[in-house]
Amino acid sequence: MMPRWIEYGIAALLGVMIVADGVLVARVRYAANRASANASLKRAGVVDGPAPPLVGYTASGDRLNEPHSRSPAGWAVRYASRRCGYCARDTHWPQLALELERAGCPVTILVPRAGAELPSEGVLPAGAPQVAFVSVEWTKRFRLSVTPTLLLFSARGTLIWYRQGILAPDDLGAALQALEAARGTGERRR
Amino acid sequence: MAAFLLRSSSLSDDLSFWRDVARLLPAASGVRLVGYCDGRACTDASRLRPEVAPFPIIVYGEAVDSQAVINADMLGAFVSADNGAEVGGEIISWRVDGQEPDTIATRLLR
Repeated sequence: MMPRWIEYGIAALLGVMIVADGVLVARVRYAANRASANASLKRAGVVDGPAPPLVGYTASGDRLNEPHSRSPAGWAVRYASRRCGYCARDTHWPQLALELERAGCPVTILVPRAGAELPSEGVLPAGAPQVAFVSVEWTKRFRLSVTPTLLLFSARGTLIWYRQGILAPDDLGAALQALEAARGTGERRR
Repeated sequence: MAAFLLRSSSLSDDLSFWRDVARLLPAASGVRLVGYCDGRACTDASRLRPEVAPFPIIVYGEAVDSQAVINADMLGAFVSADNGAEVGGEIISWRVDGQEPDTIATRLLR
């Protein structure tokens, strides 16, 4: 028969292991939740629903007209900078920019700061407006921390797809599918 | 410089707080206050009544600066930076119990 003190020792050890296991599970869940929250572009605590129209000004003071973000085909915002090496190496962007243009989905370039505008030959689609000053109301909706970031909105202003960082090969299809799906679900121009 | 968010949901209280801070800062201190409007109510108030605040109110900002101010505000704080520097210096709590305009003004004068 096992001495009593050994039984107590084993019981204590099991107890410690169970508690440690519980702590580990809790930490993993917390980390997973946090990673999931960080992965989201929508800012926590901000009212869900369509984003306000993207209104702003270029560095030279030209106003970006509101109708730009009221296209019936949806609209896109590309957060990019001339100082961002990844933006220049985003090899799938030219194709997606072309497809978005074909789909009637206007693209606005949002730069992190005035002076970070892309050189005109690097702007895709060609002639896309570059906004340096954007309404704080719009900015509040999203956590823009990475260039490049691409945001796609439905005609109503619902964020329907986004990609932080350079585009992956599958993203072209995924982005266009999201636009198509938003049209298919009956999202209408306001 | 102190850059802070003016929430539409508590605009009157926010403006009152920062008006008091502004009043407590000597003109020669060189500390600049800048409010960022988070929505239409604030924007309308600043447009219709520019005398509403003794500091500039930003409606359209550079994305990086606006993000810094909004991120700080989510922690109940504002961003303090040297005048002329880009927003993104020290984060100082102000939306918490015990933080009064005079404590913030004193902190900004340090």
